[in-house]
Amino acid sequence: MTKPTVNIVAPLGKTVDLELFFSDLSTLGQPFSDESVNFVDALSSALLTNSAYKMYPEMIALGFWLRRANIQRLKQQVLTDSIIRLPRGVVFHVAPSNVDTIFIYSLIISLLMGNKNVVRVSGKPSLQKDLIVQLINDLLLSPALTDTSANLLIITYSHDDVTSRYISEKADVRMLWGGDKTVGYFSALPIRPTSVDIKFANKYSMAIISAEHINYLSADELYLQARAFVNDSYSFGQMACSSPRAICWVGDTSSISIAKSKFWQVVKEILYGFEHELTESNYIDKLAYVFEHASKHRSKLNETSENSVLTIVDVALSEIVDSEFHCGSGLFLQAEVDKLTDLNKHLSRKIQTLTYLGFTFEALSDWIRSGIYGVDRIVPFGKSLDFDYVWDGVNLFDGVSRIVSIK
Amino acid sequence: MNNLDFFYNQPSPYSLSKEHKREAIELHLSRLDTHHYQNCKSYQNMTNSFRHGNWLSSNSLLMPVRLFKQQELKSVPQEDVFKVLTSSGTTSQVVSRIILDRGTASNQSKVLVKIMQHYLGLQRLPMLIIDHPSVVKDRTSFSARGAGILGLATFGRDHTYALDDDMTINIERVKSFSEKYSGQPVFIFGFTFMIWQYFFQELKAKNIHLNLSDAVLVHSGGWKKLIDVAVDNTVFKQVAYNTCEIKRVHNFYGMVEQVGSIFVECSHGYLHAPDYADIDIISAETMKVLPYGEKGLIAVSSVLPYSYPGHRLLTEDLGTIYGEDNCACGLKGKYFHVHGRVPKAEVRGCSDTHAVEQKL
Amino acid sequence: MSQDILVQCFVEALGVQAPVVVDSLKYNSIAQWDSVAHMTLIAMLEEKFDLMLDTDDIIDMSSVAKAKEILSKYGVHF
Ligand SMILES: [Zn+2]
Repeated sequence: MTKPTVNIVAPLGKTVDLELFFSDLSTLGQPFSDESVNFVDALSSALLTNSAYKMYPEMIALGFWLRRANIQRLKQQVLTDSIIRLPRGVVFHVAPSNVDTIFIYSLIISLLMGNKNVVRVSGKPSLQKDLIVQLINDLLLSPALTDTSANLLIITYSHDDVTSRYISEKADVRMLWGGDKTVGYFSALPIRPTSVDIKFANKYSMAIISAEHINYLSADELYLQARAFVNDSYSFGQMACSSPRAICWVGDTSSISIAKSKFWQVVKEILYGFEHELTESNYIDKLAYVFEHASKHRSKLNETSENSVLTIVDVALSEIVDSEFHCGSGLFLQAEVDKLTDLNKHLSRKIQTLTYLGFTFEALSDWIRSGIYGVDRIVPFGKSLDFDYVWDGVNLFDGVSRIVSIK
Repeated sequence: MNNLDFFYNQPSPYSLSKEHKREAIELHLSRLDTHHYQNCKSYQNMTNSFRHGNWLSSNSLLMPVRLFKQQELKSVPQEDVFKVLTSSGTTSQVVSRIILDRGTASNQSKVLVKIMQHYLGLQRLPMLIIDHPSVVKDRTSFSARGAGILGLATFGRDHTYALDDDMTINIERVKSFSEKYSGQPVFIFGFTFMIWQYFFQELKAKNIHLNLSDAVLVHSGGWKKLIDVAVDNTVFKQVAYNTCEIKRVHNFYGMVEQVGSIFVECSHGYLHAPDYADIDIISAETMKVLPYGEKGLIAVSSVLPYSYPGHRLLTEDLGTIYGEDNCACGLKGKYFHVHGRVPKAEVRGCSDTHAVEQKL
Repeated sequence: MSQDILVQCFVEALGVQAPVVVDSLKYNSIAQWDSVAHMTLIAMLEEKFDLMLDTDDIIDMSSVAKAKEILSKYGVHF
């Protein structure tokens, strides 16, 4: 087999024999070892206290998730006395090129489980990625983190088959971020029969809103919910797979019509003061989308849309899912149903997150069992972007560990 | 039918003062609105959608130019289609397809004649084309580049191509042209980047000096590639003078969706709207018309497009209008500058899209 | 004692002066206490008081007074 050449981004200054990295499993750790927990803690503190990261909310969110209290909680949930959980071995993480922090979550989960990790990051320049890699490098200088340093390799390489194939054939787990294209590409490269893939396909997310509930909220409550909705949708320019891209209104026609106008009015007001990252180019994309959609499906721009920041298109229920062309950037396809079950047949495997407003836990858990093929998570407004170790329906701790039974 | 006699009958293509122009052009454009609404289903659906919204300042649809790449927009019956114009897809695989009937095609050339005669005079001048001859060989499927050259070739005679098929300059041919017409007015045409790269730069490299002091150089095609190498209009004109002694240089701006009603650079360096066309600057965020002096998206309208709904376009270019009817050159019409394309937004999102397609 | 630690957490997490940290100070009422700083604040409170807050309490912590009330539930005395 041809030997691949890779460029090591972290740990900095280290020369690594790839062959040895894969064959030497003596550094595999114990789940939630003191060292790994300390590393995560140091990472969290640096992210939360160093003012250099203040301007990147996603870095603060990462630091928040990695904080000691949360890691302790995860440990309690994951490590139970009744089962023996061990690392799987070497995990190959393929990071997406566009969201610069999400792969850190799965990397940390894998490190905490005691695995060795090879992370392929994109060579594309990204400030956030560079900041976090630099931070990891600084931390790894500590003599107290030698095991972590031995178990972590962040690399870039030109996208050639040789290297991808080489690592694929040696890894015990491949964590494939980056959507359909990346997953498809790597799926064609063989892995060992004992290895597993964790795949993150392109996903589409929506909001479901009870019209009656909206109409019953006080002005202050409505404001808070609308604010949460704006955060869910407009962070990352609505391009995160969990940001809602469509709204399904639930209720009778007259309450929906009142609820819609109340809700969008507040959203519009919030957006005047919201620091979104949309640019002229995004607005042109949206305009072209709206007209293209209208010409093909006779959809109508909603009268609430009065500038390019908030764009609402009334579509038929059958068109509420458009995972292929939806351009994000504050574009909402909107349809209505009498009751939640009317939506069932549209909820394919492509559907990831439903953010909801105005439904009880009981109503939602009954509904989701009523014959729905898709949907990975259902979260209240404001929670769409929160990372959870159960992602796209997969428990990532389970994915990177193996359970040994002794009878 | 699209009767343009009112415009043709004006003494020059820059005659109408703003009040007259507003009245005449709006009347004409609103007739085209109705025509396209009745005859192009896609246009009708789009208009219905956006009229329902509250979004654009005008009551008439501004068609994003990208739509011509995404679908075939046609407002005449299939049997009237006379030819299909495509944009040269150099950077992207997707090309615009513009459906022409005879009437629209003929109006396009007529209007182009009216405008170009203003700069070149009524006589057909000896013409040096800074391109290679095969770009116009296939007459059934025109690239915009080929169509542009053919359209302007009407204004010249003794057409001489400066380049060979491999894009190298043919010095002998160019020299004999300049000697033959020494001391006479000639017409030089080409695309901005090609003139710079394959003509001026080659002359400089070969240390050849031409005397084309009575030439009118007309060029178009965008500045993007030249801005990358730090060449702007001033530098371009300076080099035209230094290498060939050319004093009269006219850039022009035009959309492939509105061939004919082009915006030509005046003697004071501004692009001018002719009577047949108009320009507005739109804020992409509010979709409202911006006041003169502010930079924004260029929206262009033209009285020409009848066979396809391209009479009101929203471009992806940025520009600034400086005024109307009061340019120091004396021509009527709004005058403006183009600043180039809207910068591409950074691609975000959980799934890799364009990046992966290229790299994997 | 607890009061001093609490104030110190606010000062560091929000980047404000100690006199600003009064019971009536509300979330989102000053530019420094936004949703991003809120996360830093929570992490700091958890660390300094050595406790683990429930999600609901994190959301509920809408003022300095409310912070004290919530922390009291976890056995911190003011
Ligand atoms: Zn002028």
